[in-house]
Amino acid sequence: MTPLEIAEISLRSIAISGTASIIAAVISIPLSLFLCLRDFKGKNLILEILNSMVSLPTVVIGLLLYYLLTRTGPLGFLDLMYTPIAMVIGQAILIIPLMTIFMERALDSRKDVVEVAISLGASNSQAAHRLFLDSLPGIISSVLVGFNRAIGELGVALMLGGNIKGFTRVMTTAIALEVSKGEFELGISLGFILVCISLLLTSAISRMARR
Amino acid sequence: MIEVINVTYRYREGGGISGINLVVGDEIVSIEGPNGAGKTTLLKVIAGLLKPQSGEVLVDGSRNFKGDVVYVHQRPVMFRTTVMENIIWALRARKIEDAEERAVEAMELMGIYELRNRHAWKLSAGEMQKVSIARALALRPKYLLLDEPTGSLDFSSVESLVSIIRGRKRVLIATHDRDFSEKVADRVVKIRYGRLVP
Repeated sequence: MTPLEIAEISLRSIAISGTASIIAAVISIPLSLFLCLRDFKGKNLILEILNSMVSLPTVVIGLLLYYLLTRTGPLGFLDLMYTPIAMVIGQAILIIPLMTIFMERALDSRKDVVEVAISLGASNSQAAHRLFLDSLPGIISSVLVGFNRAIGELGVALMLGGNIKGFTRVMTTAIALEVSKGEFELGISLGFILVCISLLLTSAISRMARR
Repeated sequence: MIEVINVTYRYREGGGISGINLVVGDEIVSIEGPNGAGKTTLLKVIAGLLKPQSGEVLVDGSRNFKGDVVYVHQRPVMFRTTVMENIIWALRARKIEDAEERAVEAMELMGIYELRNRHAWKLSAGEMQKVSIARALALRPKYLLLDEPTGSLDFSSVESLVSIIRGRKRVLIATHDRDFSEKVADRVVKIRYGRLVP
């Protein structure tokens, strides 16, 4: 594997998992705000379901989406199987519960801000916005947790992407391939690069968030 | 005029207030009582933060008084931004035009102008308390509710708070600090076990 190929795979991994993280964040932010601010019957049940979905094996989500997206499946007409889009969808579904749970906890820890904002005469939406701003470091951390989960997962990437060279091959599927070929050293090197990417992105964005 | 009419608010886990009747006009009223007597609950019900299970609160004869009554929490909660932004945020949220001037005036009044660019959540408890009161004063509310405002303040800060409160009317204070209460209040109301006592 040439350095150019490694760079291309690394960039593809970042692009796919980054897009999945953005999509998951767009869904998780309003969902976690809703769960934090509203008290309703069944709220604890929803939180418990989301909590249990965090530990759902990636291969199960991969299988479910495989059934939906395969040519003969209900969404087969979309022709998304073995494309980066399918990988993005799978990774987003995988990390939404994780992101939502982490965000809800971050928001809940600052919930007293809402009461202060309302006591100062702010509307409910202004108070929710204030809570969002005050919880931003925690929300960004939650997105990073989701991104790191997405970039490091194998089941969804392999089942929905198919590890097609130059198209859907990402770091984890490349590692799996190299190890299956007996290229352990290359596998470990790719693993090291994956950890470095994750570490660099996490520390850079965390620093920005702290500022 | 604030009219608290036969208000009851009980917490599921016990405690709260029962059958409270109180009228506050152009005066400074202090609600005195030990911890857990129901002072905070009463102020939060008046501020509209807790909905009473029975009875009602009228402000100048109206049930819709959002913005007219501002409640300052016992434990100051700072927004994760500067002192200036903490004070100006609610003014902007309420679309008050001279927000900046009002914020500066409130900070000067509370003696915290030099803290304006500091991160509010990194201040000492006493400084946070002052920011919290300045944030409410900047709004120039019709009625100001202060919950244990002297909890984290030193002697000189308490003295200046007394003169600030004395300089305005329509203030309701919950405190267990009898000295402060005597200095500042026109009238003292006592609360025990969630009920007003003579």
